[in-house]
Amino acid sequence: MTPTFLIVIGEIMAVILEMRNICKNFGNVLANIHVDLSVEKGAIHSIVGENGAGKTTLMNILYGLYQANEGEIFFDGKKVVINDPSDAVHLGIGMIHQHFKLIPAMTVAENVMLGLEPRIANFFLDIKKLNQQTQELSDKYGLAVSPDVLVENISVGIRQRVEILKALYRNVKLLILDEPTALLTPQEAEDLFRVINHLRRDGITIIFISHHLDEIMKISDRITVMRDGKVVKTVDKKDTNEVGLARMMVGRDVFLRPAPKAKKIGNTVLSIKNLCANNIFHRQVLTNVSFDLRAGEILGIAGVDGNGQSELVRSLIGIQKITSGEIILNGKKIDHLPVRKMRDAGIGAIPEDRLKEGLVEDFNVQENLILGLQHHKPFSNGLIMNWMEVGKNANKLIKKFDIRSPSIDFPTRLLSGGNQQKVIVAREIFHAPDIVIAAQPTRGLDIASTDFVHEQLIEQRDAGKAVLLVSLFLDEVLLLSTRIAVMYKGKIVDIVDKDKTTPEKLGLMMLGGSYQHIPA
Amino acid sequence: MLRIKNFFNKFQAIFIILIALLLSLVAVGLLLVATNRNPFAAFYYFLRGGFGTLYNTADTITRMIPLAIAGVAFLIGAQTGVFNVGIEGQLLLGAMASALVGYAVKLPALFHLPLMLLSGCLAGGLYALIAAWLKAYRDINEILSTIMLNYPAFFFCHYLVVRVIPNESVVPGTPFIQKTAELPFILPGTKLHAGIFVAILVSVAAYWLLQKTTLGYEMRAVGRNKEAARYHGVPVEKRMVLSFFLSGAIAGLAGAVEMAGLHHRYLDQFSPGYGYDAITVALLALLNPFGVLITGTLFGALKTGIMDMSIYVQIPRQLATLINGIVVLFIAGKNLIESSYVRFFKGKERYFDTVAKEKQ
Repeated sequence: MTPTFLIVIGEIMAVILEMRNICKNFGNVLANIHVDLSVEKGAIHSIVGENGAGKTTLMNILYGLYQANEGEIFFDGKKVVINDPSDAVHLGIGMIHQHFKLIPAMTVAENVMLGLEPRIANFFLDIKKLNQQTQELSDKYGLAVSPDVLVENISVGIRQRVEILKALYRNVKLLILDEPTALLTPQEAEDLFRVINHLRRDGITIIFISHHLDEIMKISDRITVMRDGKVVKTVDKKDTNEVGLARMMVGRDVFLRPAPKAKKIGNTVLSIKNLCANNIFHRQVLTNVSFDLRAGEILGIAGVDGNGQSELVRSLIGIQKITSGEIILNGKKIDHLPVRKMRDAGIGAIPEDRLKEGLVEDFNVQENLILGLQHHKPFSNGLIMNWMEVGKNANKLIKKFDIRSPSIDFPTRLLSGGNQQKVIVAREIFHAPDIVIAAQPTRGLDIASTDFVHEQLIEQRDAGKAVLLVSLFLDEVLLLSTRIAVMYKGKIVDIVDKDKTTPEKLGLMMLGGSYQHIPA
Repeated sequence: MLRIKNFFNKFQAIFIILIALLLSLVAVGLLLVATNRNPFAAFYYFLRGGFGTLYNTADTITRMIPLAIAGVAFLIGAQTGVFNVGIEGQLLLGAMASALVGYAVKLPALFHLPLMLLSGCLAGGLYALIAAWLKAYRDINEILSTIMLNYPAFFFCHYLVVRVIPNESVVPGTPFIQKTAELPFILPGTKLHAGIFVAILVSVAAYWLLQKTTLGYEMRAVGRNKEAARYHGVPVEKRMVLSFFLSGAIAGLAGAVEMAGLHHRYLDQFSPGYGYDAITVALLALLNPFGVLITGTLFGALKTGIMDMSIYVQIPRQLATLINGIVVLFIAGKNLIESSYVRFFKGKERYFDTVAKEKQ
């Protein structure tokens, strides 16, 4: 779609916002690549995509939190420059972040009016008017919020409405909701949708960000799908369905070679029984997850992002505390052990969030290549490091995994993103004793590196290790797995043999199996 | 080209520290000019005061000893991601404990001196554990807790020497320690004492701990990326508590060495803020255990050199504090220097395009 084409469409449909050719990078990560977005006035426009697809970055640029490297923004027919959020608020753009920006010790009304509060003699706070105005605003949009309660005493769902009230009080024309349902219960989410529809009736344009397709289909007018920093497509809701959206979201332009089949499947190595876990808000994120992992197989976990995969991986290495259930490794119960003991029992893991959990950026390459193994022979005798062996290990892995580093003591932070990932993959795959857990092992890698990681995983499988592959890319799961487990809302929907299923069937299961009336 | 870039990357941190020092020197110079003094003369007398004679040099090194040891105390914590600003308090308690042990216990020198130093370590280390526990298990910011814990320590020691411990001299203090607990003077006619060897030993030990042991590796991992360390099985909280204890213990040792080597008794307010200067000393040294010996000497010279400066160029001694503050300010602003440094040498480019090209 060329920008000119968009303008033509825009004039017909009364476009309120147009972002053209937006580019943004963080270091050498490209977050937005030539993104075009056009939003019609009075519509609910959804942006979907996996984590890291660039949705939030794009919205933060619109709200003035980031500056784009390139590109233009047109709002209400005029070209605008948005340097910071106060510019955005002036224009009538409001944003509700995933993490609310409220002051818990102040009342709802005080939060809503903050910075623009009604005063008496320009000095004293007019509390009566403050509460009254908030109440009126709340009533007008059917938000049902009491103005005089303290924010610390209200639920997450109501806090979100206070954020919405804040935006409304500032005469918002375009309201951005960044994954607004992430912290809500299903009932609260329903209420939110009602509020959003109410806002639209009053002529407020909504940009709704989510990766939950059922929500998107429920409330959107138009939908933009993003993937890897680019816009895949913008469609009208009536022209698409969840399966189509899922395909656009997770598909990748990688040329995948079919993998050789598993040779010999051995005994069960890891057995998970009825695993349950809560998140920090005490909401259950894993519900009775059970499966067996056998030596010599790759068990793929498929699912749309945010359906409990991260928590599952984190419970298996002992970071996430489980509320009930058992993890049995080689006949030994290993849940409730500290992380080090669980790893020592035989689990290696490629973490999902590499920079945060996979690497110590300020360590050099050889130090990072033994992270988590520092107390093992030959790298130390438990007390004193043996740097000679550490160096040998580094040289070996750099060669074997083709890590492009000038030397073994080169600072890891100066390596390119792909090579940083190779450092982690090399360490975890090479040293994993029995089980390799690979969470999004190829996210962000180029084609050659992706291929390489796939080969390594298959090599581990054929060497008799058990591999648990968690991936958001359905084609990757299909390519590598022996069996596939599909997760939806913290549960395992089903575990199927790779040979006895199709992408369409899996796609339906990824949506909870509750949409089977949609033709595949 | 890559080699130049690597060199640039490797030593950039040191260059930036040097630039920061130079800038603070310029700032101090401007200050002197503004008050009608000759900055070059001041600088000359500063160097002469710090290193001009054998006595002055020995004096400078004598002052370096507590600064370097306390600097190591700070960097052991900082390398593990805990910022122990409570070194002053730990140092005072260490000094008090060791002075009391040095006075009250009667043992042969072979045991007495180590016991005295050890008691200093214990006092400092145990005191630091309060803040350590708060930090690791109650998530209380250690900068606030440690800086506040300096005051009880100071006033407790003050109370002891003023009210509790009987004392004949004019300055409040404890009685002199036994001869068996003293560190000998090593250069006749000066105050330079064997504490210098303790300082060097502490530097070496800290280097060894951080670089050569598994524990040190894990501590550095915690300091640089807590989450990654946790993910890879490092018991993060335990390592933090340990490094806090070590930090406090070394701070206490710095106090004990002052007692055993220089004062031979606890003198009220003997420390001119060694514990605070130690932070600057450690930061200037880029948290390198050997670096503190150099930056400690620099700060020692600041203390001795300022005397000659004040006599010959009529500069009030309080200026030393000001200079210290200016240096800290420029070190704190080193990120600012860094960004303009990089921009100056590389120029502003459209980064997105270069990255995009590389990716394709």
